[in-house]
Amino acid sequence: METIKSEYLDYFESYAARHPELTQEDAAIMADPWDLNEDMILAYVLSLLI
Amino acid sequence: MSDTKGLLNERLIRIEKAINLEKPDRIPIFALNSPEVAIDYCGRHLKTATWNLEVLRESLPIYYRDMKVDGALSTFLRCPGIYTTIGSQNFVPNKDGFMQHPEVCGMLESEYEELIKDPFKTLVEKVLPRQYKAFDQPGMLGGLNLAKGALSHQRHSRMLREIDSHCSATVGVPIISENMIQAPFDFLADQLRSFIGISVDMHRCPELVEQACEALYPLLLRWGVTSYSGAPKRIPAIFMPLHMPSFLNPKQFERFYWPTFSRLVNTLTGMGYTVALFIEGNWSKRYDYLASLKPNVVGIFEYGEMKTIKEKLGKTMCIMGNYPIGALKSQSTEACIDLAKKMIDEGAPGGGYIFTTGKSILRGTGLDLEKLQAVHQYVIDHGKY
Repeated sequence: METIKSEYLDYFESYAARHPELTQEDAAIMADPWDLNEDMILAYVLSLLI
Repeated sequence: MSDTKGLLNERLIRIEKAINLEKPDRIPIFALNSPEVAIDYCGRHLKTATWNLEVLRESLPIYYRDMKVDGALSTFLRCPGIYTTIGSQNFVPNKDGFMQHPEVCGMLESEYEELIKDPFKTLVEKVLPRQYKAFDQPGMLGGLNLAKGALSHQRHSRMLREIDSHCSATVGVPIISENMIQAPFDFLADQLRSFIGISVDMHRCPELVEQACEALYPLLLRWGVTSYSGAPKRIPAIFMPLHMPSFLNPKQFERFYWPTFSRLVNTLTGMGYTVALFIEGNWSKRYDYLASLKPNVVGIFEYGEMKTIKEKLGKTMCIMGNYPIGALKSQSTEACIDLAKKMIDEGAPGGGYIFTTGKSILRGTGLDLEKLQAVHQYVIDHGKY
């Protein structure tokens, strides 16, 4: 599925950019919980506008 | 297996067969209504119910049971508490607690470029504070209000899903849609640019309108998928009301609406979901477009000739809707039944058909719901395949 590029989403990606010591394995572990939260936030924001 | 569980399974199979364009044992009956009608039907006060969802929990199964329906949409009730505490201007309660949606503009014409560049950021930064004044408070208060709103929204959604489960468990009514999304153009028009704003934009800045729909598309696709629990399955369907097409001329429809709408529907159905389109207004000049959508679509039609709808779309789309609820107000019970007879004669042959009204029944006042019961009983008695 298409990803959503936003300054206000993709928290892990922007965090990882500032911390090069993080590896792909860290991303695999950490990205899921953040994605889940971001999807909940996305759903809340869109639901207020429908 | 308990009687209720058996009934629930029987109804699910009936609806599933119709959605798969097969012939079930008889024509399924679907409740296209907002929950407010159940509160009115049970003689309860709407304002109380919107603050105390226990009233809705008690009323909704009674309504479904008495109307003898085989399936319903997931409960969608806008509660004033949720909206008034965050200073909503786009949904406001009237005197008895029914929520109204005034014409509102949440995004300026000059903000298209920002929306196209980062739609989510623009929704959060620009649109939300205009539509919800409590988010526009200085300092930490705006953030606190956003958190308050999110938590109450989460709690409210959980309670409504619990009411859905309660209806299934007590009166055997399956819920056949789980969430609701919009076509990108409708999302842009409804609360970002407003009806008037988008009408002007299509002339003044058509390229920006196209690009905005493209920018919003991934958000709506992701919302459709991630707000659906579990792996894709045929039922419950993803519900999508279509607002603007009947106000667009053919060129506007083809340029602005159809590209991202059809891609959204085809992508979701391609992933294994069923999409239930509430086709608002008269689409009789656009049936060829609808016929080109990939399978796994349910079309709930507000208007149109059932015979033509069935001929043009019945091979690819499960057909629903079209019963004129105005008849329940102005015509005799016999005339209401005659209308149902005509409708099922035209829509039911070959299967792939679910009986329901052409509009969502919002309130119990003004319509004679005993006539709806008589119509449903007729479909039960005469709708066997």
